[in-house]
Amino acid sequence: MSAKTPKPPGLLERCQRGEQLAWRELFSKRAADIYRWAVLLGLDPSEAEDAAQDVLVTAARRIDRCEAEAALTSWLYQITRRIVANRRRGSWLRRWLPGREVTDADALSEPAFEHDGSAAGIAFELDTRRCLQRMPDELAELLVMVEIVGLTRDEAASVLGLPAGTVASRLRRAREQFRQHWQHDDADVVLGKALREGS
Amino acid sequence: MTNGQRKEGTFGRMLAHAAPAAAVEQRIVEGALARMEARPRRRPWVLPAAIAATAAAAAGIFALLWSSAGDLPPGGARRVARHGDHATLAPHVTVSATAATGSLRYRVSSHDVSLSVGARLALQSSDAASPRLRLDAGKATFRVQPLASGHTFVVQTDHVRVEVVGTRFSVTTDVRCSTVRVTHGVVRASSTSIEGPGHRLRAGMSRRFCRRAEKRHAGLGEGDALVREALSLLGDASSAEKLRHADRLLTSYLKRFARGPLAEEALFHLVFIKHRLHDAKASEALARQFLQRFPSTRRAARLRRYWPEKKRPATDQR
Repeated sequence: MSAKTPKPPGLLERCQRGEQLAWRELFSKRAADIYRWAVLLGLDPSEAEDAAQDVLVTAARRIDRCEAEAALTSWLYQITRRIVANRRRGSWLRRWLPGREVTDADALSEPAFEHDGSAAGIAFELDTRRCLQRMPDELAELLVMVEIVGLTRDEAASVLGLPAGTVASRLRRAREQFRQHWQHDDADVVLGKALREGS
Repeated sequence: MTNGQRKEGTFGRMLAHAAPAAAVEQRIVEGALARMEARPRRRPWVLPAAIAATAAAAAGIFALLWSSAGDLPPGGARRVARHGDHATLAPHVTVSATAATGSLRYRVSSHDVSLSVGARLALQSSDAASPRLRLDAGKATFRVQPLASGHTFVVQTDHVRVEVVGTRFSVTTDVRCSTVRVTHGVVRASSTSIEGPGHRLRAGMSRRFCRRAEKRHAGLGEGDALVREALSLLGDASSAEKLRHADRLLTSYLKRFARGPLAEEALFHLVFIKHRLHDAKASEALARQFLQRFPSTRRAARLRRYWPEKKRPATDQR
């Protein structure tokens, strides 16, 4: 009877052992996700890039606190939302400092993602980011958590430290607000309304 | 299903896998790895080792400053710089900071330059009074000593030329744009694609410079660039100026590429732009034109949904 071969260590375990190659693998797998979360949570592309680096470095320092590979996504997301919140607070303060001018970088006109040259893709991305930015932070964050990160309501409740019922009602409100912002902006609707009114 | 529902349902699916440019992703990974190496996880022997390393580094820096204080050596010193090293940048040699080397520090004349991981920098003119540098990629931070009258310190990228008035600042560049951030003092930054006196940036200010659409998307064709720029302007519905600019871009596209691959997209958006600019007649005329040219497209179906039966063009009464 042959002895059972031991299960090879997972990526998280290899990182916790300090294997450099495992870190590179983890960073390569997660960099795009973290950048995407940071952009959709309201950072501009260059800030999101810096924030993504901060998240990975923080994750590397605290990897011992992540208990299971299955929890890695929500653990990384928690770090991301803290770092993004800090950066947004910083940029809010900077905006009120004397001598600060509104710069080109403040305008939401630069796409953050690759769209293979599709103009419609760029417009979709910018519209979506704009709608999220107009929502209250806690609602936008919840919508990103569920729609983009892919967390379940229970996972989101655990990340936010809220009862599942509160998360469910907040998610309903978030979806409703997103829909309203989108409809408000949607050129089709504006034109349609005007044409129906006979203008 | 309303538009909002349609949008919200696809929002997750369409952006759930949206990815940044490969170069951005690489910069994130390499930068994080370099910073991780620079700050290893805590071990019991860290404190004594850190004390010893600090003492050694202090001695090294003291010795280096002692030896390198003075003018730029003729031809520039050619030595391999390592993390934490402080070498003199050689003229016409491009230096790159990679994850293996960590960030690099250089001396140009009496000024300091720090390269972040992923940065690529070349010294174009080694004139000690007026050095000129070119940043091809990544981020470099400059600490410039007070300049004597007539002396300059210039950093250039594809998008911007920064001339120092006596300051500390950083320049970050990628394929699309360059960002100048000023920490201390004042710089004058002028776009390489737009003529003009440029912008005077004081401490705490930053400005982003991008290529104009025609240049930025040169590889994708001029027409495509016009439509892309127009669509990125469309997002800000509150700005009439941007709408008018988008109007000009799309009209220009349709004039020059009437049968172009993006004609449908350009015409469709032009209908809405004219309407937002309160030009109902032009909007209606363009909508009719769209229905005649692209009668069986999904966009035509969307237009018809909002088009009262009696006002629909005769050619479209089917």
